[in-house]
Amino acid sequence: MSYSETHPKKATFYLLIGLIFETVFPVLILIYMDQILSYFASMVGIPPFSITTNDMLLVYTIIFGLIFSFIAFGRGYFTKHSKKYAIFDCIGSIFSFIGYIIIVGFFSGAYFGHIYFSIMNASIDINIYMIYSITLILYLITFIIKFAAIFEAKE
Amino acid sequence: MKVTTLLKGIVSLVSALFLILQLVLIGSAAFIRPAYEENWTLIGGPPPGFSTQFNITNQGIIPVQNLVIYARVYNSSGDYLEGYSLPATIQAFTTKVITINMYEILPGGTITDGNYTLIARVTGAFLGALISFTIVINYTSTFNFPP
Repeated sequence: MSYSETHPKKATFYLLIGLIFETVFPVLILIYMDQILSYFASMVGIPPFSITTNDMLLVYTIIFGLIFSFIAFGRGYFTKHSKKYAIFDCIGSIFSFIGYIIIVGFFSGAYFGHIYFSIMNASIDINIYMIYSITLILYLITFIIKFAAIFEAKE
Repeated sequence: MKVTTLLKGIVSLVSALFLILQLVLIGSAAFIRPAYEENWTLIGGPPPGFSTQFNITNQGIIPVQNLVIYARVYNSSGDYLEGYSLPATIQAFTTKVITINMYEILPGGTITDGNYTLIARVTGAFLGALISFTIVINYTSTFNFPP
């Protein structure tokens, strides 16, 4: 039997807010990354990363596309506050965690927590270790909360 | 409302905002443009040395804090000059001229005109030390030092 703990209008509102952050945000990332890569490509003639711009965007789209399709599918298929949904949401948070590590790893060269690239006669090393660690902790907290939500949800 | 529902909402919101901030900061670091301007000026010692200049442009939207340049001049015979700049802040969408006083590595040596390589390491940070960056530039040219 399905179960909804909140008023239907409230539930729809929360769902919409969640969907905005989970769909608009990756689109913004794609637009922003595209601009940066295009800017570098126009300056040096070739993409500054070890993989091509198209490869990067393709991989990015597939990974995040899968993650957010997975979450969206779960939201649409299961009742919003059922145990099945809570499990689905929890698995989705693991996908987000792994996706983030993969994306950062693409730019990190041999050192995680760094982003390397070159422009003309300059080589740039951006140390994102602190912000990277904080993000991973946030993802971990999200996972723990979503895991706990499984036990609070009803069948 | 269940506790986990509220917590999920808060953590999701914080994570999303933090990821956006992260992208903005990484993008900002990629838009720091250091340019070397050969402008040697003799400075008094001891040890004797020369000052030179860099134009650092911040094309990003976040101010750069604690920007320091370490530079070294060398050729196949060895190292000649090295020095640091004082920490500087560069506001968004501005260019700042940073002067470095470089001194002889081996005092008493002779610095003559010739082909040299200048290697500069530009370091800085955004929002405290949330994201820091290092830009290494190599510049090889015929340097003419003033008498």
